[in-house]
Amino acid sequence: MPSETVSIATPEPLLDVRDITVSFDGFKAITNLSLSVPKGSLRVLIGPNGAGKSTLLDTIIGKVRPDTGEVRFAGQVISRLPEHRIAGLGICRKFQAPGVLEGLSVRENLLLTARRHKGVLGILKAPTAAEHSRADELLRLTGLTERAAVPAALLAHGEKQWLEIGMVVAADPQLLLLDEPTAGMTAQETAQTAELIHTLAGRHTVLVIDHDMHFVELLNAPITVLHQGQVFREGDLETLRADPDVMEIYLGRPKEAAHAQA
Amino acid sequence: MKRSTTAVITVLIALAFAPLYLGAYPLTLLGRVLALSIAAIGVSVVWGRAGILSLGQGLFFGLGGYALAMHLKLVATPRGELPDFMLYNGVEKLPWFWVPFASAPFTLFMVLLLPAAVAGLVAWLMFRRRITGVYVSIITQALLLAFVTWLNGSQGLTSGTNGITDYQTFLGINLRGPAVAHGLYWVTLLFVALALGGTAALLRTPFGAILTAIRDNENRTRFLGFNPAAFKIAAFMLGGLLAGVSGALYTLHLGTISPAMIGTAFSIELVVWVALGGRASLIGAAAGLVLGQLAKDRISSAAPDAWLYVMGALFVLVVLVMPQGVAGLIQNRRTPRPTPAPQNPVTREVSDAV
Repeated sequence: MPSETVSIATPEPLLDVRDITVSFDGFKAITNLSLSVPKGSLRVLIGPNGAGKSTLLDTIIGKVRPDTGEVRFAGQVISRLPEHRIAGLGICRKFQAPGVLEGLSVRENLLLTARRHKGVLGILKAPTAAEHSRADELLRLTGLTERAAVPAALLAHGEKQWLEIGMVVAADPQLLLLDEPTAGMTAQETAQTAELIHTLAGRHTVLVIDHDMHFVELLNAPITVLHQGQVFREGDLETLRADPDVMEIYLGRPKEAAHAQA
Repeated sequence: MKRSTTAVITVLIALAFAPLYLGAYPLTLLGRVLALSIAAIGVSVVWGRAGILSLGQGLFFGLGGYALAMHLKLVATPRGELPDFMLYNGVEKLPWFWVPFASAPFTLFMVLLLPAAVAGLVAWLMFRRRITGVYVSIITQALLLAFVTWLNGSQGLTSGTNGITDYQTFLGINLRGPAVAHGLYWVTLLFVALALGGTAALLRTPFGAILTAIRDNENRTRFLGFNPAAFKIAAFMLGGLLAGVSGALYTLHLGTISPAMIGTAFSIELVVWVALGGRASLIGAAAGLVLGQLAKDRISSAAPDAWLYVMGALFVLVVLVMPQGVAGLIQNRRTPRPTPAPQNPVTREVSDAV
């Protein structure tokens, strides 16, 4: 088919953010931002505080709606769908503050997110054997096997982070959005997380936000730098590190220059 | 879990033999109170599990009660005539919504359908708009008040403040016969057992887990691909259904249903007993209602003025000291780890709403 040759030449991006603007009470958090992420790729999103990173993820999952522009997922416009429908298409986000379901056990958290049928009637069936073994597998992967029966509210912060990563993986989404997944983790845990993300990329498309440059280095993936709600630069870590403009937005202008500006 | 199930079955069996060891008045009282406990089980699901504090359960209770009472009144009315209160109010033709209630199967169906459907509609209107917390309490309370006001004002259609009363037979059985008291008690107990067992079984499916998830973190649940509104509507409908069954049974026990029986005081008292017993536990909620109502009977007959103060003090005690009620205390003692249920939101919710 001719369309196939075309798609090999320019692969259809899984996520296609087209020229979106998001504002809160007149303040523009995101201005005319476009970003596309090819299927199966790993992409890192960095930028100083207030650059619009979390707002971008909020817009993708439908938590906030763009004023203009649209978000496309697998070719479909999703920026007007209800949140649970967007999630149902295969987009799952790990929030910055761990968003585990506190009243449920660790195992129940994983079992619920692993469910395929998320309607009222579908939920009445007991979890299938496949869902149980998936939960077991993820308990091992996240090192929480011993804690399976513990209510998620009682987990340590780091364990909650792992559990939530386990949950988003259990949901088996096409697109995984990870918002500062290593916040509060030790260096060793950070390295493990980077390793885990590498195993996920390929099967899933992964978009990671993080501040930790060591972690970003370990991910070794194309980077998009956001600044003041816009895409500022794209490239690999070496190029960006050598870029004085990127250094500047992170560290501020040299003193004289800042004075001159003011 | 297993131990508590055994305990519940033991208590139900003991209750089944109550006609053998209880006198006529205590048995009547126990039967009435057991009928009410079905509504409490519904509150436990809606409030304890799904985190929706309805202060208008009297609406659904009333719909179930009135549906049955209309049928009983038509049965008690000679064929071709109008119910007595309609004659007094100059109504000349049986109102259209009374007509199908002449049929017993239709009535029994409506006792289940009407409260559940109205609850579903109310829930759909609220949860689709993402109305939560104290606003839900206010809306449900307001709807109940509207219903009670309509009942009071529609003398010719509903017998107004007097309520629908003065009927003797249901399904050909004389309700005032001496043997019927025992039968009605057992039927009530059977419904209590069904409501407890059925609801517990439902909450053991992942449906129960989803309700907990929504109560604790509605947004997270939404972004995991579940539609919280759909689950909250389902829970609210179940609560309405149970309240309706409770109302119908209560009407049979009392031989009357009136606006005063289903109003604000009733709906709030229901919530108080559930809070006291333990809203997150079906058994706690049912037991709280039963014991609370029995205590009310004792105290209010001994010192009528003291009762309201006692109830108020108990409620303050629950809010301040044991947000998970007595059942929560028992559970904490058995498992020494802190309960995962959200304590602060509960306290806040309750104190906001009352």
